[in-house]
Amino acid sequence: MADVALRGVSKSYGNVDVIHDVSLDVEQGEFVVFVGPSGCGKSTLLRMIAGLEEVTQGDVLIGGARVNDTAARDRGVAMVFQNYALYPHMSVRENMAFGLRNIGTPRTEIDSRIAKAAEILQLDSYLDRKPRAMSGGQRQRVAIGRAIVREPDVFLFDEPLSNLDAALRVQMRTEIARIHHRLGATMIYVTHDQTEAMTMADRIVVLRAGVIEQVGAPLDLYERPANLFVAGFLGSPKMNFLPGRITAAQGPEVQVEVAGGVRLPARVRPGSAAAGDTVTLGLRPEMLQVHPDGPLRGHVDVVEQLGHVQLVYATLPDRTAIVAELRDRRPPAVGTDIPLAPGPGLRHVFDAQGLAITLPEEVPA
Amino acid sequence: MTAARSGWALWGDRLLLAVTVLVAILWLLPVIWVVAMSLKPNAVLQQSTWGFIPMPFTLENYANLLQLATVPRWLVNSLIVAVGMTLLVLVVSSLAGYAFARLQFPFKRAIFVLMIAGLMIPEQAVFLPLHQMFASWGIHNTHAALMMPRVAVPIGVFLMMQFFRAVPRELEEAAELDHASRFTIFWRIMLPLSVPALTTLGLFTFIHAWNDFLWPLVSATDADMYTVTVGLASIQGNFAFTEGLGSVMASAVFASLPIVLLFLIFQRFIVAGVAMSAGK
Repeated sequence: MADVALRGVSKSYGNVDVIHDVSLDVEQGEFVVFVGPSGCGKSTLLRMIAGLEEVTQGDVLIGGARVNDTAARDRGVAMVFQNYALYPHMSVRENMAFGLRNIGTPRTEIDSRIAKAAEILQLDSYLDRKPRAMSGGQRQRVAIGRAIVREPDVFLFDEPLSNLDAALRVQMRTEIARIHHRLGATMIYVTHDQTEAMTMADRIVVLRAGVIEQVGAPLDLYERPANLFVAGFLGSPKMNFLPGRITAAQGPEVQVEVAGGVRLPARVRPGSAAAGDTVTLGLRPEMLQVHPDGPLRGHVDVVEQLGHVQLVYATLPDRTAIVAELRDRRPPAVGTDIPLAPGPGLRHVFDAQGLAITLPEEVPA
Repeated sequence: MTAARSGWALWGDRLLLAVTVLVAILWLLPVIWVVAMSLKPNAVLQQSTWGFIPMPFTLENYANLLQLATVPRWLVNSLIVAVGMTLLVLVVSSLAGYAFARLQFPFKRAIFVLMIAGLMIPEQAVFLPLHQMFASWGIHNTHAALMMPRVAVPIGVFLMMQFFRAVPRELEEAAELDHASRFTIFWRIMLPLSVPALTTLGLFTFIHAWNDFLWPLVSATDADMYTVTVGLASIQGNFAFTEGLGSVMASAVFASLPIVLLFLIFQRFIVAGVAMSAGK
């Protein structure tokens, strides 16, 4: 087990900069998820830690030692790839043993480590199979097993569940979380799926265009996003953004006027906004309720019935799209107008630059 | 509409099949003729060579052939040259193909262009300099001289390079993280994966080496160093007069037997290989 640190790390391909001055500390035993849209540089960052990509600028430290010039195989990391990258001509057992044989691990030691990994991953009865005779989920388990037997200081996962179907993804998600709990190893996990990030991470690193947008515990980021991007990226369905204007500000209390002249109270950090400022009001879908006095008039376009909740997609008079997550077995009919009101919960306010100026709620002790 | 179209398609398929069978028969006829003649007594052949059925039947021509002391010697020569050349071509092509596919080294592009340019040079064009070179080294009439000019095969390098390029890079990266050296990656991962490509390349090289005639004819002047093709060609003139046409035909069948056997055993790979080189 080791900690990982990035110090002002940048990466360029020719004139194209893909990672800009990234600094980050990953604690020993922590499960950190890099999340962001395609092309944000999350995989590149992971591959730089692995030693599969050179670092253009800055330092990568593993266990306190600078590893920029250390070959990938000497960094004490193991990686699980999106396409599994199993050696197709080798059996499951040989796949797992390959790395250990290369460093001259005694046979008995190899066997016992494989047996242990196979037990953790329920692969006992597949050890002599070739990868092609296995399903996607089993293959990914083998890939994880191959990493486990190496007993690396750091586990790296590069979108390991992307090739699996939805049900299997959920199952493997919990399985990886379980393995992390059991091994207590440092793990860095890359995904574009915010649900994976929210459910698995100790801490999430949100990346966009090679820059870290925010780092924090999943709920922290969900409840206190630093900007519009993070607010929109985490949470499904995503947060509703209503363009508005501050009409009155007194201390932290402000009035935000949104579509149709509707005024909604919110709380911002004192001094961060004044009357007349253009802002964006952010309301999570689950805080919207149908209420007879609801100030927001939504025209229902689509209703998605998910069983435990209903997602109502509506349009406000100024054509802003809005989503409400209702808990009502009889949701409104498509084509009707409904009055929506923000219920209890934080009303996020973002300034003209998209940065959050919301006054954080007191966390009850 | 669909039924009518499938009807046309059916007739189209039948026509194609008929043409294929016809062409196959045309190709096979001379072969059958040769085999038939090799199994007939020379006395019969002197009257007429016509007919595809060996009646009356005899194995005398083959018996005569095997009584010649030099024939087994030529067979062994051919075998040594063909097997040796095949192994060397596989080693050179796979190593060079891997280097071109995955390694970064100075002047890679220039070297690659030079290698590919080698495809454009007809082998006859370099016969004289090759002959002079080998003569000055004094290595004519050796197995090495028969193999060496054919060991670096641009098309083989190209084939292997294309194959290695298609292997996902993550496999090598996974192996790298698994403490494998570059050579271990090549030897334990890439080479086992390329068995289909190696088999195809090996088969074509073996067939080419076995059928090779021109260079062995130039390089091997000592009858003991003849390969089967050169050896049989050398006795054909004499044979036709002294032993008769049947023996000449028997020698032709005899020389092509190993290749026919090879084809029967490995036809799956050969067909795949043709498809592979046509598809790229």
